[in-house]
Amino acid sequence: MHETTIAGRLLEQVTSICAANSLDGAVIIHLEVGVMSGVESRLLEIAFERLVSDTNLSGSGLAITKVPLTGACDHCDTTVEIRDFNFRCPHCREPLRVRTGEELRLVSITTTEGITP
Amino acid sequence: MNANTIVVRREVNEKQKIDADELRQTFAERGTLVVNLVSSPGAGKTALLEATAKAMGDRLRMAVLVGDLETDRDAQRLQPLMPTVQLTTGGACHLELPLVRRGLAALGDQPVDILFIENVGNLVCPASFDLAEHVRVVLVSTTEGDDKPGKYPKIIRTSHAMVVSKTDLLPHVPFSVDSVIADAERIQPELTFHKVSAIDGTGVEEWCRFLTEKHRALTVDVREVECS
Repeated sequence: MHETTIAGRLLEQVTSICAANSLDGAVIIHLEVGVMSGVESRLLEIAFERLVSDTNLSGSGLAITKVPLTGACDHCDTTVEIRDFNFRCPHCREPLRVRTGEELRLVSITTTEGITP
Repeated sequence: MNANTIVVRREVNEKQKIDADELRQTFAERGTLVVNLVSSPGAGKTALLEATAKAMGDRLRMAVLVGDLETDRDAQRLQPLMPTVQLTTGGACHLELPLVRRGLAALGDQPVDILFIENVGNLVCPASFDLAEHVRVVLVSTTEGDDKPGKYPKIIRTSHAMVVSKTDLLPHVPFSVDSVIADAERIQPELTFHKVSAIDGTGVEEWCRFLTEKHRALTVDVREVECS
């Protein structure tokens, strides 16, 4: 399960950003995960929750937005959704340039400071 | 409510990508082509390396880092043919760059034209880890079924070449080379295809020409950068 490695990298980034901004306690970490990122969102969440529980950010969680796979055809000058992992343009069969769907991006961190449960 | 938002917008693997790019460039400057071999267990990565070493070991200096969860069985097979370092992951399902760096340190400073990294047998996890390779080669053997490319699109998408291995068994197994190629080509239109039998030697010469050409192109590219 390589999501553990990825969760470790994410935690390292989040920890250093939070430290630089003098934050601790639970935060919400917003991620964009492409359908072709190679990462299973649920497994990433589980791995992250386990790793973060031993840190000063304990209780933090991920808010994941799935990003569809889209590609641009330079020949037809169009953008299409890539279906069934077919990376050729449905109109002219030229290879598509991937626009979205391969990302694994840390978008933002939201503090929950001041929110009373 | 007093929520604060820190906007980051950064790839989670950004640091690792930069590390891998730097190492890739260092290899290129040394004239070392790095080839990452990925496949399911038993697809014939070690057999392909044995055949490759026998076919062109006298022309190019090769070395290999061999990844496995446990044992050094593959390293023992390859040791007589080229400098070999076993990387044992201790249960991890893929290789990562820090382990590759340790392998490089163990290999020492000897000049190498082609460095092979034989990844852990697994069509899922190795797809997500850049090992600073110039060429990623995925093997699909005729015994494992021709439906694999569609089932494991990420590893196909991130590869540069595909070796269809164990072609000597084609008369005995329900496997369509054409259908594998068509499937894989939809996922990665830039793939090159190499049909090889490490047992009877079919296709080994063509595969070695492919590697030789990649090595030549790498060293030419570096010289051009130096001149410009």
